[in-house]
Amino acid sequence: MDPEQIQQITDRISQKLESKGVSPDRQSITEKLASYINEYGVVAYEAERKVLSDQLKLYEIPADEQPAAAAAPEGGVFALADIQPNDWVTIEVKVVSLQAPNSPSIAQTGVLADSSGAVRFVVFSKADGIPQMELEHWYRIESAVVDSFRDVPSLKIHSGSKVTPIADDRSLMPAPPAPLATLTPGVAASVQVKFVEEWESRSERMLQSGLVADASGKMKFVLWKDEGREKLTLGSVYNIFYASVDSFGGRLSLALNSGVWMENEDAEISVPVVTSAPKEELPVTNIRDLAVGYATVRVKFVEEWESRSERMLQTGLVGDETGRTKFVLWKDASKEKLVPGLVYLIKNAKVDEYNGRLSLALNSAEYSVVEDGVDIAVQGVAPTAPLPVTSVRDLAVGYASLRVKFVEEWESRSERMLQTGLVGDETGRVKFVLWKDDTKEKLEPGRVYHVTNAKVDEYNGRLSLTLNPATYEADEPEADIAVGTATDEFSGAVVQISGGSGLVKRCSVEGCNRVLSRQNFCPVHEIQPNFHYDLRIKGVLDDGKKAYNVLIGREVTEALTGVTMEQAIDLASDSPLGLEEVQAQFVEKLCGRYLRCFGNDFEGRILVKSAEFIHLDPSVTAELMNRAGSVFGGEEQ
Amino acid sequence: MSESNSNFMSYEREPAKRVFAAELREASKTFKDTEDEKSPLYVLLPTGERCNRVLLTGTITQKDKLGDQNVLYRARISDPTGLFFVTAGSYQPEAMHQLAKIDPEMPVFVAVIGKPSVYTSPDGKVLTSVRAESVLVVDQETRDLWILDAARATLDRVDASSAETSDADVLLARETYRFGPEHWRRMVYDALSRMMSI
Repeated sequence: MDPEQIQQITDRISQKLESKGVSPDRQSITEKLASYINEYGVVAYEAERKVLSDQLKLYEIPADEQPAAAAAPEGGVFALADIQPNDWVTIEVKVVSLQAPNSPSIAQTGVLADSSGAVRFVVFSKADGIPQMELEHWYRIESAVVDSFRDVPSLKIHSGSKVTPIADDRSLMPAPPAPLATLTPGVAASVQVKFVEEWESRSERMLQSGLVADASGKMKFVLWKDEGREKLTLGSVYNIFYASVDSFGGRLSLALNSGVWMENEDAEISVPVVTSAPKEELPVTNIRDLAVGYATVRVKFVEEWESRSERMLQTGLVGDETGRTKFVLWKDASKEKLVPGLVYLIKNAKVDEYNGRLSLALNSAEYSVVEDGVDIAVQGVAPTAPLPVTSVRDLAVGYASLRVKFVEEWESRSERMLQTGLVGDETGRVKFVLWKDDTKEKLEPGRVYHVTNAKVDEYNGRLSLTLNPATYEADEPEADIAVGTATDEFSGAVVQISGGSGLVKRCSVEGCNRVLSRQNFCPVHEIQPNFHYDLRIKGVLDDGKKAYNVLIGREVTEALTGVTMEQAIDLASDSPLGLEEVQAQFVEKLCGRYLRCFGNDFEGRILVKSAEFIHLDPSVTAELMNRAGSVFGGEEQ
Repeated sequence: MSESNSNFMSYEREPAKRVFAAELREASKTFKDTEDEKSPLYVLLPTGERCNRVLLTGTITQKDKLGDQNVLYRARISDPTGLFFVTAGSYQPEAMHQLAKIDPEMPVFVAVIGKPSVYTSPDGKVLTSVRAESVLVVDQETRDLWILDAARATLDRVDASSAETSDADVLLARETYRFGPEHWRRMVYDALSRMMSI
């Protein structure tokens, strides 16, 4: 969340405290909010509630005086500008917009306004006794709930609410226009803006989209096709009331359909000019040091991505020794594609920020191949020298060379895929993918290949090879490898550490080895004063679809917990809880954590031969973002 | 094979579904497969899958201790999409002890494994809370892994629920809940973009 929004919440909290006669430490409030929201991912309304309640405690203001506890204002009627998520409120409002409900469980939806602001509302079909509200009429609404989704407040009118028409004729004085820069998700009661840029609409359902601006900034707007709606005129100034402010990927946009607007011929707005490209050639910057604006970089084109938009000519990753960054090249007759693998000098590229990540827009830049055949060792990218051969068992995310046999061909599930299947060596098997590419040929099933510098990816805890960046060469036709059946792989979160985990005592009668119960009792040999210790974990690994019972032996347990058996014995003898202490510590170290276990299923229990913690792979995030965002289409521009 | 034996054989631990707070909060429909008392109670997720156990992570923002004899802890835990309400009482001794040790005055990430339940508050609000089996302090990487895990699982459910299907859970969810697949896809996108910017 940007500092400005945090500042607004700080202001709100400070005002509440000041109204109680204390002078709060704003700096500390801002810091706490930023920590909860930005570091700890807490939703804004909960962070606000938490920090306010901490402050009230700090100043010893009794809880029953908390303004947040829906202490109704004078007359019991809230101003819309003051309502907060989770409040139960009474309001007097005018219906300024109605939309067709998109679900049978919603009876009515639209926008309500008073002179302080506006809010979206929903009346549920199940709410009996709520009268149908009419456009342009005033109502008193009691006991409505302020709900919030994705930080957008909305008013829920349910069966416990009471709606009564207000008979007296009131006129609505709309709130004065708010600067675009101060808008937050919800409904913008009033803005005065100039329509500065029209975009080609990329959807059948869209009537118009583009940029509006005022002196404080600019914002995207969208107008969906809707009977009776007319397009806005480029260059005109409008007063827009009750437009929805949506937040998408951290950016706000105005959806006009819920609102009304009037061209204001008398007003002229000075709109800030977009920072223009520098005239001088900028010095070369390291990728690590990029900042929003313009920059000249010397980079290698390391990865080409499929473009997700018709308007895009090319996109992918470029990088230098200090890092990598995304670039975008929009279609433009004067621009040529970059060639993957080559090093470019890119002069005065525009550096944009999206979702906190920087990217280079090349259309305004000049770029040329660095001719002297130089190569750059890009950070985190394919090695330039061939890597030594490793075995499948020892694969790790990154790059690897292998000698493997192509053992199983799978049907490819994508048009872009040339071939996929399993390759393996004596130590195991691994999936591979070969994407369509003019320079690549299919592998021949059954043959042994020398693969140099394949990319090793991880998805859902499984490794796979991408052969496109690699070189591969078939061995003699008679060459063969006895491909090992790898142990199965199970990935998921540890959701339970069962009793009998940790340090256990085993019966020392020859051939028995059973775990003894508390009084050193063996189910076969009864009380056993002689025993030996062992370390193990009986637990449940859960991937969200299935829960697996796992049994982890001493060595793997020691590796995962970092506790050796000797240390466990000391722990148990020092603690009043005895053996239970070891188990409790293992619960804290492992439960809730993501693990990848290799092993075999034995009568419904996975005997784990090796295991490791799963680590975060940023490419998975990108993949999921693409998947989740796929339907919205090129929202980035 | 006798009936009891076949019941025993078919016992399978319910997996812990990965659900974001905003989705769990909307889940209000519960059902059982059979009239049998021991039949598990499922909560129907808006994206169209039944769930009897959840794994969630987030930041704990409040903890209240209720009752003297029968102690019940109640905690508020926030993920990037909203709030989870988590309880642990004397029937969940492990979770209760774990929660008792956590100081909510300092923000910490926690992972919770537990059973969701739906109840109606005296003022008519339908609330979903999670009765914890385990509550554990975890690091940020675990929380991030969970967000990816929950994102993937939610998208899988969204895809299944927007496809043509005869799956009874999906059909029931379509009938019951007000938000469609695109709503949840957007929630996932927002959760991921918040995580990227954190």
